[in-house]
Amino acid sequence: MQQTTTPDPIYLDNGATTRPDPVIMRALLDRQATLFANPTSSHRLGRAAAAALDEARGRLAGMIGGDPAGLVFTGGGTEAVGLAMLGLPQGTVGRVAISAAEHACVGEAARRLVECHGWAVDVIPVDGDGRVQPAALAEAIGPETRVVAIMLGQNEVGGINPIAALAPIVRSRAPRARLVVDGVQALGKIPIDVAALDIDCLAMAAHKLHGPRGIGALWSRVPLTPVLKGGGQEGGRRGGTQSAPLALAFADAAEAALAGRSHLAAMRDRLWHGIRDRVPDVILTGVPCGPERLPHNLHVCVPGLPSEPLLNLLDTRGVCASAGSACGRDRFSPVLAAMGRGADDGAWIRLTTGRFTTPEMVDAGAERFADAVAELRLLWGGCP
Amino acid sequence: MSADEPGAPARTADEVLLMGRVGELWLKGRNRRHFERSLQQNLQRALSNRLNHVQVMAGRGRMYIAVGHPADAAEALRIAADVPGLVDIARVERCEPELDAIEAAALALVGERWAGATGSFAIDGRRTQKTLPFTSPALNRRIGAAVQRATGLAVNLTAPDRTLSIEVDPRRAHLWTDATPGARGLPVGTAGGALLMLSGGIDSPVAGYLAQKRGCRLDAVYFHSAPFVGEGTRDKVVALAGRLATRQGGAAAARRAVHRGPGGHPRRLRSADGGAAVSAHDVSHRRPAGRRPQARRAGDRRDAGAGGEPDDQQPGAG
Repeated sequence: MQQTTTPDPIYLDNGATTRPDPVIMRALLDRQATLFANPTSSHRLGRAAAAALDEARGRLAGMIGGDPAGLVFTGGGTEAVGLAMLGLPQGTVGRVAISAAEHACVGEAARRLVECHGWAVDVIPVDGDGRVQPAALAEAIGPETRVVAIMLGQNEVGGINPIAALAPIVRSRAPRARLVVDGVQALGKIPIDVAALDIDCLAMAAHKLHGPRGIGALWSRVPLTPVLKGGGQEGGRRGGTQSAPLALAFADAAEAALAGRSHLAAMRDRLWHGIRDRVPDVILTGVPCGPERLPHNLHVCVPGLPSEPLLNLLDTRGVCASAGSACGRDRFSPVLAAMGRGADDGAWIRLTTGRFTTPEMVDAGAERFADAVAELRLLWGGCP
Repeated sequence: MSADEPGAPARTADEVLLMGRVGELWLKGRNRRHFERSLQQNLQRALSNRLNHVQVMAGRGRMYIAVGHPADAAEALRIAADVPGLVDIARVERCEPELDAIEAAALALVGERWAGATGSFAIDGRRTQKTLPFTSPALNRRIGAAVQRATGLAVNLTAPDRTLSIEVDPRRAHLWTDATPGARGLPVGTAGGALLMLSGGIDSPVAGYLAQKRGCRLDAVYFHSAPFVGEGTRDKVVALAGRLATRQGGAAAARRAVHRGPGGHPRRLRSADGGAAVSAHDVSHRRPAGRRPQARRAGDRRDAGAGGEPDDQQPGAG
């Protein structure tokens, strides 16, 4: 296919997923050769795999200040959320409360509770920055509430929910509820302490941290009923043969991410300044860049322009970005809608940095962003 | 075209023979030869684009497809069933047009296909010409009795569970048990050409397919209104063009037939092998002057594709 030459891609969609760290992937490959055995096998290779799995479990649990026995390895973040929300004692029926800015997997798990188990769902409204405020939470839950799902770091607009302030409301208003926190975007980006935050269940995934795809984890201090029972692995909470190499790679990736997290914010801030200098009317969505925002997240609105054409122009310029969550294409973001924003407000673009984002990439990204905006303004806004 | 296949290569022992029955072509009087030749060529191209050692031969109201590799038979059947012009198509056994030979072939066929079957059967035998020394009822009775003895199945002529079909002409007999419905319609190319305004929606490719089934050979034009639609839509249009191309003997992949016309002018293109008549063009496109942005914002920006169809897949977030 003949095409105009496409510039080198600049990957600024680390909120969707990240490029695997080559060092971690090499170690993963090496361990696939040595730690391949089934961790439930009683022979020496099986015991070695089990020891490696426990090491990974301990390191990950240690990162979030939780008991290693509470950590269950899963196939990814969606499965971790599903296990937390659906892994309830047999026959439990009640109300589930989810914030209006949750990831699609939380909404789908709640829908499963409603459709298959006779639950009722309450939606906790979010403020204009996409975060849950204590008063809104208090109003949405009650004694019948058995599950409350509030994410830690918002995946589209990057706001960090004040879980420490919200958890006491859950305890007082809904004492029988488990507090399920989707920490997929936040793990490795901000320090997390499940005890200090008073979290019951925290969902995590490796692929957002330059780790391998196909592994996640759920830390839980409440009992979990398995969704898939299998061979009784993971303390009977999640069936299926575990992968010690993947678990170790997850731990490696999470630790490397946390150690390198200041780079994310530096690159994000540089990108934001670069864009703001070139496109003066651009608006930052959500909370200001600072301690209340995920360090890798930049979400902007360019007034007067449509999102998708701008995204397409960015794509032709090699800038990989997104208009919202990668898991909710083809419709206006429900998160922005819940924040009171509309498609007509302007072009909504999410740009997310990673550990491999360089200053050169960020500068070129800002320049190409400005070029794309200028071209779209000619096409879109220049007509009488 | 003669009833047999002049110059046809000798059939090998493990070769599989498919027979397609030609539909409306019989209605076309003196044009029949032209129609049959088009169908033969379309079938040959569609099959040869994907498979080796496949030969299409035209008979009287029938297309015979010799498949050199038996493992390709199912794929050949699927491809041929998709090419407009055949009413149905079946894997057939061929034998001499004599009752003894037909009976032997019938027993071999049902022994293979109906092994372990229960229920009832029927024989649907017919002669194509009255010069044969037996009648169709006599053929059915003889073969039916033999099949009943061999299989123990009951005869049911009104609602059989399975049917053995036999067609006998003065030169040979064909037998089959299961026929796959064909695409029907007329062979592409027999009713001239048309230019299809192809978009990423569902209407335009369906319209194109229906036109193909009435014999139209298509060229397709696609207006890529970048940046108002994304590259994903263009990829989909290319895939759609490829699907349409296979039905008129074109290349399976139309990707190479797509390019950006210099200066934004669409160009008529053919693929490198000369087979693809469907091509998608890509012209730079600007919003017509005077059209206000508000007109697009309200949700009709989805009609940016040619023909104003809704685009059912808007690429967006990565």
